[in-house]
Amino acid sequence: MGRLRLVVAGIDDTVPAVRRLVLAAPQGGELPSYTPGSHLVLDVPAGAGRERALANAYSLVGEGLHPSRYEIAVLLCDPHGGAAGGSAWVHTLRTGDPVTAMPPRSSFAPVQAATRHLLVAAGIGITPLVSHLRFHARWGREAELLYLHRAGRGALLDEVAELTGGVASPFHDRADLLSRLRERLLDQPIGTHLYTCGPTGFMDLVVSEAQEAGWPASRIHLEHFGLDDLDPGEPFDVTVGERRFEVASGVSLLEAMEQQGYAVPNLCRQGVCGECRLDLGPATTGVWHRDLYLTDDDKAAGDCAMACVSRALPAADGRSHLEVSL
Amino acid sequence: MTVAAHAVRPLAGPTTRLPWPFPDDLESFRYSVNVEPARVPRPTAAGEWGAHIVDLGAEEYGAMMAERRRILDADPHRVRILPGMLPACWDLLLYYLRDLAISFPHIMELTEDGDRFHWRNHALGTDQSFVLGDAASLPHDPMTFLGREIPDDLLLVKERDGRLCFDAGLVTFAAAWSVSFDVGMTMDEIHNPVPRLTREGITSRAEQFLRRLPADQVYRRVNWTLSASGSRKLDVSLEELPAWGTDIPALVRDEDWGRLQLRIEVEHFVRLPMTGAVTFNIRTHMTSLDEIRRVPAWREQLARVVLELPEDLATYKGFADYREPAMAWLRREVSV
Amino acid sequence: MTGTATESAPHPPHYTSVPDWSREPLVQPVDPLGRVHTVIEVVDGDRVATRAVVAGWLAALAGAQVRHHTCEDTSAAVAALEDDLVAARVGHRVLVAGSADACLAVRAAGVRAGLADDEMGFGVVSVATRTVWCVHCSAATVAELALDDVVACSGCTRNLLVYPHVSRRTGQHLGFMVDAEEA
Repeated sequence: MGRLRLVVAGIDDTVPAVRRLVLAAPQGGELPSYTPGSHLVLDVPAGAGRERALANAYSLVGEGLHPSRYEIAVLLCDPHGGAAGGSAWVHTLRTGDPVTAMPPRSSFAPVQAATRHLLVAAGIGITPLVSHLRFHARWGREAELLYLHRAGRGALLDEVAELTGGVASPFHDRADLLSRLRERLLDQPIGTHLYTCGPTGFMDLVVSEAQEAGWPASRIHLEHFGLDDLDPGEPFDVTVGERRFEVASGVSLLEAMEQQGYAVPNLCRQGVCGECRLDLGPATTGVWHRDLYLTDDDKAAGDCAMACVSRALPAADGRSHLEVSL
Repeated sequence: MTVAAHAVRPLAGPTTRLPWPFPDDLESFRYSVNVEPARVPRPTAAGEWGAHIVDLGAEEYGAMMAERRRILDADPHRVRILPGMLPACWDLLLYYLRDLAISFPHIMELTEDGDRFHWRNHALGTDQSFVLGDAASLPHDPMTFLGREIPDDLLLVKERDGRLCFDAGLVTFAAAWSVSFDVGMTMDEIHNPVPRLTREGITSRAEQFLRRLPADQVYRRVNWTLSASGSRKLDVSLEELPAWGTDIPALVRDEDWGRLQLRIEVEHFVRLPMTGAVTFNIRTHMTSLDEIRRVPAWREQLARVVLELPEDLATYKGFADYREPAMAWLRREVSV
Repeated sequence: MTGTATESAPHPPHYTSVPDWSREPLVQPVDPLGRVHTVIEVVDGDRVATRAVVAGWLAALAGAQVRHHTCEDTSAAVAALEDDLVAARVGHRVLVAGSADACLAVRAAGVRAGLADDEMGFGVVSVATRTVWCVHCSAATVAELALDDVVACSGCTRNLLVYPHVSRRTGQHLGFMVDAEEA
């Protein structure tokens, strides 16, 4: 699949730490369409403190049918706080700068058969839900939004107000949102689906509240772009054919293999897209999967792993080893 | 154009555009997820096919669409759209009309102004303005409107509870299944009786493929069988079984093998841009053994593939009982 | 409880649309995560066995909010379900005990009303009766039938093969003319 060549066509820094970026084709014209809840994966070059090139996923917030521009809203995450540096790079871009991206992809679309949609967002997690709201407004679907953000730091507030008719007043206090959420979870007609996006801890909370209210798994949908980093994990060693090397704590198998010169197909680098799946041989001691892609059956079989997030689990003798078959 | 006299008629018309289902080197067939990118022309021993998503069928287009419209008028149950699927049907309509206008600019035109569209199909005489999402602006629902313009059977699958479900369809040229009965089922449920398909994990791989299909990418797959009908009749739906059920026994009794039809189905998979629904559209082609026999490469390959097929698949495809005499006939030299 | 779906062997792919509990009597467990439970007891067959299934469920749901309906036949059961679902909220679960034929019909009503598979459970005491939908004339025929049996259609009298294919939307088995190839 080819990359899209885009240029920065607009920047809006009105909201502190949240940059709205408009991207367009260099000569203008139509861009590939995308479904509500889709994201764009931007190529972030190495340099300026970034050890290697990154591929960062950002939810698209505009109208997805035959668009002439892509619009994303990016929260600045502090590289000193452990962020990889992709959002910091977005915040350095200027109008006219070239950007390359993979065409939009979706793993968080509204359920067509649902009769009603309950959307729960925190912070920058509002971005995919704004495109959901656009879809529901266009097609006259019932939707209700609960949105938590820090006072003065709300992203996309104009769109939210317009698309919800002003009824979705944002929450600035987690406890307030939580008590409203509890109430609303108990009062949704059969046929409602729940969608949540925000920091992992927030989504965990929403899911556990929903389960507490008796919601079955089939009605709960999450956008998994975690803003939190995964546990760095323990070191382990890897064999690929005759070669053996170590993967240090805090380094992913994918990064280690790239350092060793292997070209592993990859895209999201977050355990979502499934591109970097590797087959594992019988010498593998155990797999700590951590991905959101493989099925439970795949994981139980233990013969494959996602290079970007999976690590070795130790055997009884304490050795941690993955045997990769390319 | 004049053609030199031949004992065997030269190749012309539909045969030259036929999507021959087997690659040159194929000698045995098993179900697999044999998908490939669409809109790629593929040469065959008799011509070429596949440059566009829709194959209008050239000189057969008018007759095919008349038959399609007759069936739709007679049996409204051939169209089934589950609640919530109308946006996906609009999505389907727009995607195809845009594609048609680009593929066949000499006979089809689409002009756009925001949500307003004007569609003209000069071959069928259609001239229709409509507004996206406004049901009253079309004479039929959007899926039916499209189904009356192109010969493809239209199927939409959508993810629900983690499974791909067949939630809307317009089918007039079905091969022994019923859209009315199957709508709302998962892919897995619909494919239950195909030997080897579910057992070998092919359904789930196909399902994974469809679930991960990116927007704006189109793939296709070619499927085939020997038709349950001894004529070019495309509608061998389960509903019409009493009307076609005796065709093959009569043909077998009369050993009239030349009339036996190879039924080829070209499936197109598109993730629609607005709703993320995936198409499983099917264009059905028929060609008789009589026609196939005139293409030596095809004649030999089909005989080999059909005879090599394991008994369970041959039974499923419905030709286990007569494949030997039929293929022996096919392999016989064309008499001069 | 006499057994659960998870205890039975993996099913041959042949039956992907035919629930396991419609091929042999099975009782699925209650879902303790549900907030409100509708329990429908369809006493169209073995009343004693059906009552025992429901008693097991009610014991497991002790303390939960339960609406228990005893219904004489399938249409009464469908009506009771539809009635409960009008005001129901997400968090609701539905349990249906009775014949497989009744359970399939009530499941179809639940599907039409927007219930998901993980919101419904079934306790089947008999699988003898099946409803067959004629693909040729759309009539439904109800009879004591096994899968792959042949039955005369109550509408068009054609001999129908009871195909192992069940519609989620209607709960009926697909039936088509078995002797169409005989001239």
